[in-house]
Amino acid sequence: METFRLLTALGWRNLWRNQRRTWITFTAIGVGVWSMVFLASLTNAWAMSTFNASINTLLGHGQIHTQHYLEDPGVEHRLTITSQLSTSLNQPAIKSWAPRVRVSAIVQSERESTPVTLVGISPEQERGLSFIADAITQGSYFNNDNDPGIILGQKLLKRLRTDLNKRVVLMSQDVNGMIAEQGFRIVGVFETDQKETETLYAFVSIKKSQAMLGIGDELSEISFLLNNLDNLPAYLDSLHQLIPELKVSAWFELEPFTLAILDMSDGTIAIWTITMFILVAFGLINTLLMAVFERTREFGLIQALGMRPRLIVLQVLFESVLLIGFGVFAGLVTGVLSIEYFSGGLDLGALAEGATMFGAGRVLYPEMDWLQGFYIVIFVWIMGVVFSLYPAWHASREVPVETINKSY
Amino acid sequence: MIFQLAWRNLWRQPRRTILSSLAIGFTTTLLIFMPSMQNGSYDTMIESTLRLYDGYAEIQQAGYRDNPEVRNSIENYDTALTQLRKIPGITAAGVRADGSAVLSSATRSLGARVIGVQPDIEAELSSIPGNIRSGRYLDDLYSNEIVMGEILARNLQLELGDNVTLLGMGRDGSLAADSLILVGTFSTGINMMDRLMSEMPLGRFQESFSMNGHVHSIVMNGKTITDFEVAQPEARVIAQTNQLELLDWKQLQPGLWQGILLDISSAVLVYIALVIVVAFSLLNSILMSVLERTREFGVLLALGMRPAQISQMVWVETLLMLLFGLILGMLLGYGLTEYYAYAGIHFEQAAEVFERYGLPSAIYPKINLFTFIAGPAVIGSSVILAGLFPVLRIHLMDAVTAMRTV
Repeated sequence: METFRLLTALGWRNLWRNQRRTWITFTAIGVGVWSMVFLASLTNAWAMSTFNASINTLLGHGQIHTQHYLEDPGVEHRLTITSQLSTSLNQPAIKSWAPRVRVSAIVQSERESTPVTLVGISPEQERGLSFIADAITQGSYFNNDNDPGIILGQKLLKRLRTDLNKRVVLMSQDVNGMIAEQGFRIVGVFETDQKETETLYAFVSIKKSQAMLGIGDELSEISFLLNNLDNLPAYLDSLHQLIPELKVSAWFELEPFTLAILDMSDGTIAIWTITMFILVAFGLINTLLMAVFERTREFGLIQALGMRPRLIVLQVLFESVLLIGFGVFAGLVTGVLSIEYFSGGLDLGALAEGATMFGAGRVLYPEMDWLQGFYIVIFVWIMGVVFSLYPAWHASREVPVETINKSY
Repeated sequence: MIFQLAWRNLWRQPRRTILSSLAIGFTTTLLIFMPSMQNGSYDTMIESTLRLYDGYAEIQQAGYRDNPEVRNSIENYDTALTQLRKIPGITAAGVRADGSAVLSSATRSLGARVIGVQPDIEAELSSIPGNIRSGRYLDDLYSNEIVMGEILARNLQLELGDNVTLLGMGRDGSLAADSLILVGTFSTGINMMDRLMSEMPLGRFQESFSMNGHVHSIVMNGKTITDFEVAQPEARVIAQTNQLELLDWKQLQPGLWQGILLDISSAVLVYIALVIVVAFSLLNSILMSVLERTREFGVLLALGMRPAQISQMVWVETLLMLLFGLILGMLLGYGLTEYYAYAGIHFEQAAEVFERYGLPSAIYPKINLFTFIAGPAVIGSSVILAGLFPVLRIHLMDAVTAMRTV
């Protein structure tokens, strides 16, 4: 213990014998760690934004359909809420769920017509589950399950050259294979970051869509959100047992692209951390080597005075532990501060359309991931100390007599 | 003499020199390889996205892109086509007409986009003819045939040879109706296209939609996007003389272009951090090499060497070290890039998913003068800047105090 205290003290004092060098190395490590922490959080924010946008755009954490709906999303494939289904949906693991009718249709204004996906929703159940309730920018959301209006995206509205409160006609194939036609008044207009979404969907109330297609109270899909995403596998298992006749899909089976983006962002963070570390290590080894070389005489002397080579190694390692420790800590603090600065949202501004093309939102919200920060800190610290074994080993190999006699 | 002194000084501490040069070399390699990789991935992305359907550029009526109305059509396009085909760099040019309609089979009806194409030229403009999965592509300008996306055909419950009824709105507002035979299905991998698109012969389209011989867009293609961009200004002039608008790939795929800009800006942030870290560690090693020689410099000063000469010497040392690093990095960077440009960087796990969204599953880095020079130039200038600081210190030295320093 005594030796330990002595060695730490020696290491600490050695650091401040050459303050400028210590500060510069400290800065280099700090900038390196800062960039690791900050970029990791930006990449995470990007991935999370993609994930959330995807979950919000009608996906949910998972969906339930009949066996063949996904291959052929038509009115033929319908499900009813049986007692088993409603038990499985009212488990405590479920935060919310919503029934939907979802078939392809054509929307026609006085001037234009274009294909869309008709989505019949239950306004109250849909709120909080998907984006639509909060995305209305003109007009209003549906009041009840039997609301007679239609909600269209801003971009689709422009394409159809129609406007709020005007009428459009929806055409789709009904349960008998005939074309069902029905007029709706545009009661609401929605806008989203993903402009494509605005042209894809036409929302009507669930009862009206069921009546139009003649399907009673049957549905196309059920989308659900869990309280805790970690419970997804367990919940999926329980669903498979409760309702084996239905097809239950997790979000990543429905949107593999989102999963690929999440995986890629983890890879990016790892590659960047390692690359940056290699650079930091170059500077670190160089600095420590020099700190050791300019003290060859000193090392010879303390060896002559009876210090063991092993302890010299330790002394240099302590120096490096302290030096890296401070750098890493400073990097972490500045990293956290810059994340904090942008935590209100980093607006991608002019480049937002690019972000939305890859499924992310136009504003990123970086968040400090302490576990990840911890990994980065530990990785740099430990690896840095491992790399300083080389200079430390060098220091311990000085032969006392030769080095003491060495003159400059 | 100064050069010789500097050279020898460098090798008094071979380890430090080698480490510093390696640090510079490593950064240089990265800053050549990474931008080349981005460069290559952008080109593949642009080309694979545009080849799918859009073409490298399109000529349309002004405003058609935002407001694709059937009436917004082009009447005379023959002269423009002949002129465009003469421009070197443009390998193909053709026309298309575009409409939306309800397609019905015996059992189902679905909304879809119907494109009128010139079957003989289309293969050079888009990859749809090459992506036929069953049956064949169109082969006649007037036949009553249609090809459609695989998913669309499946959703309509159609088999090859089945009748498809088309109902839409013609150019003059009249009803467009036709009965066509499904001769082929295509699969582009893009869900939206496979679910919503169909193509029929242009001549037949013009009759059905009462187009009166009009079309909606002139589509052009080139060998590579870089080749094509050379030819683009000339094509733009032709568009303007016909009172039409040329849309380049950035206008055709604005999301892609901004995605690239976003990727560039985040990469620049990464590169700046890299350069800062390497400049700081270099500053450290140069500064130390100066400080540890304080006594020596004092002696040199006393012997009559001028401070300017000493700083020149240190300066040359830095430059030599930089030169080693840069040469090493440029060789490695070039070699690495060229190797992967040949072998390609494959994303095997994600390949399937990427293809579904039309993104390339392999990246071929592409080196050009900019990606080869820019990184090394930035590293070079920041190291030179970092090297300036220790040199300034030498001017502040006083011979006597310097010599007394241990």
